[in-house]
Amino acid sequence: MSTMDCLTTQKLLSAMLDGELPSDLTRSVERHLNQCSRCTEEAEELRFLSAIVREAGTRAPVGLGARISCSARDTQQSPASWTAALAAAWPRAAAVLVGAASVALISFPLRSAPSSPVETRTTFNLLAFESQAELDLAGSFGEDFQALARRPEGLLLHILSGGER
Amino acid sequence: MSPQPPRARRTGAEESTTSSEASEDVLDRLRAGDIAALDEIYRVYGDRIFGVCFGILANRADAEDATQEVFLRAFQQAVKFSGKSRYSTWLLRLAANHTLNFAKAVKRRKRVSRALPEDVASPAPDPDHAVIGRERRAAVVRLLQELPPEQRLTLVLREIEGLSYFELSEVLGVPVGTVTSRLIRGREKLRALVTDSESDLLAPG
Repeated sequence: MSTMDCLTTQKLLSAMLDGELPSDLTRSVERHLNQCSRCTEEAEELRFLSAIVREAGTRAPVGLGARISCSARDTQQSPASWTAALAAAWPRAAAVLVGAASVALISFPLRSAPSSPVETRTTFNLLAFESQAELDLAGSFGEDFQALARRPEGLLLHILSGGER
Repeated sequence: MSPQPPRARRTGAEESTTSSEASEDVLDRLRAGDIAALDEIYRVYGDRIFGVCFGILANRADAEDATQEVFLRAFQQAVKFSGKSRYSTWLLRLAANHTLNFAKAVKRRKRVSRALPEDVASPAPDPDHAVIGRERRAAVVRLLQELPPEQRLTLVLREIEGLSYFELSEVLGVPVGTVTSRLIRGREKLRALVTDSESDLLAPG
């Protein structure tokens, strides 16, 4: 296999040191580093940079947890929180009521005016959409990554092009 | 020069007494509005969230306020956690969004008043931190402030939290390619800043 050049190596170093490159690329970068003192020095600087940022982390002060508990308790007891809770619960309660009404219309067709199938489907679609929206909220960010993950060369091309997506 | 091995997100005495993820039972109680569950959530994630907030804001008082706000939101919005991702991912996403907004507000505030010096976190009594002097840590945190907020946040989450690129893409809500670019550019810029700085950052600790 041919040796990687300095430019390519330097673009891949960050991901390589993070352990995010495929193993064959990691080996290629390592082969280049064994032959190139300039890129080796660059890699060492990057590694040291990671270390000093990591060590700059600090711990939460004593007493912050208790302060948060107190605030949460105050929030829970404030009238505003009841208003907010009611406002938050209203769409869900309305959806449940609409759903219950639709079920009642379907279950007792002879005792009420016949409901149109379209309206019934719409009601249930809305209920399903509410649930799907909640699912999407948590899962919507991952598609691009999953596509890239399936095609590692896509990630590589992206790194080499240096483009911000 | 080989890739860094996976590392524990937190080391030290406190981590050994807490698990890295909250249990389902605690999350259920949190959804039900149980304050004791919030305390447990804080015990598990408090240091991590504070570390991220401090890394972004570089000011202890601001980081405390931001951490408090993040946990209050986590409490108030507990029912929004669907369980599709890990709770730590969800909480870090909450922290990332809030802290970025907080940082923008702080920047606006500082435009008005530039007189006050940056606060510096006092080092916690932690043997893991003994390798770096207080002055050097403060200098690194100050230099981090020179990075654009998105690059700073990505770098802090990667280095301090130890998140993988996939986890970063989940927390930040951006594709993994963007994560990669931000890390490359953030490190390039930080390295230039360290090189240009007059402090003795590159000397062994």
